[in-house]
Amino acid sequence: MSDIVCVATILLAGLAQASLQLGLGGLILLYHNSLGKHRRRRTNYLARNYILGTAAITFLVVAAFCFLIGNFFNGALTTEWLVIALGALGACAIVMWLLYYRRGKGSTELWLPKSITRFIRKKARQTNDGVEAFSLGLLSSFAEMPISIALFFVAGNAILNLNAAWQVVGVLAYTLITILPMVVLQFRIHAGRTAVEAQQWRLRNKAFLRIISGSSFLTLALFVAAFWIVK
Amino acid sequence: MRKKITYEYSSTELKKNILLNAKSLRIPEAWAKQIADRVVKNIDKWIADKELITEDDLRKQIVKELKVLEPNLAFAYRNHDKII
Repeated sequence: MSDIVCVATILLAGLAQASLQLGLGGLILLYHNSLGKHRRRRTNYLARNYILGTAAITFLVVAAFCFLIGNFFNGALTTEWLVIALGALGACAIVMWLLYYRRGKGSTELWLPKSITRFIRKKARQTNDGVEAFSLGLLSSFAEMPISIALFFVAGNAILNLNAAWQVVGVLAYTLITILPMVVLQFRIHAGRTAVEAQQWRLRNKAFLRIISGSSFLTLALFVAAFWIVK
Repeated sequence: MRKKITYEYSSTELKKNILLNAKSLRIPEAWAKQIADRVVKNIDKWIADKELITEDDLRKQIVKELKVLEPNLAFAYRNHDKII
């Protein structure tokens, strides 16, 4: 497979994961709760740790998937497995369009088990030090694993098709793309915006975000079908 | 059957909560204190003749009071549990 196709697959998978909302929602919650309790410097420190936590788990999981594919699939997914991944991506696209956000005006609640969201909310309220913020980042990224697992499979497969020297760069690039929305939010809040303004933006653009998420999953599915399965 | 959980209303807690939300919105401290005092006073008056109210009713009343004084604060108070 050509390097351009691999890079494009990594980019698309990264963008699809970046469009997921739990990490961003968790960061907004953390900002809102922390700004009420701590100084701005402390809040920025907690937010940095949260983003680092998300990045760390993403990096490790993608690396683990690369290891899995390398050892159990001889370095590349077979056509059958790619078709399964394609089906999972298509299902995810439908889930993103129809079910990802809970119905209700004025809310960006996600279609996740209530116990998990309650736990994340509680932890975001109680987070006072860097380690807690780091673990909250890990947790919020982990909670969305059922949706992102197909992305990890496809991205891992594309990364293993790169030259050995570029594989770590591929994992890093994927990780950086996924944390991009959170980094942008951090810059915006640094520049004087508040967490409430960010949440108001999310509410105004809820339909747009839903379309973007679903479309990015579908685009990746079509890309995999065209360049990895049909060739 | 689900067990009903009841809490005692605390004006001090309400004031603390409003001040925390106001701080995260960067509302000047003096203005935030004024808002909190006014809202707590009105809520105390509203709650005085009631024996039992739901958390939702109380929240709605607080949001109604906040909306007049600081709409962004009302938004934060109303949507705090609806972010994720």
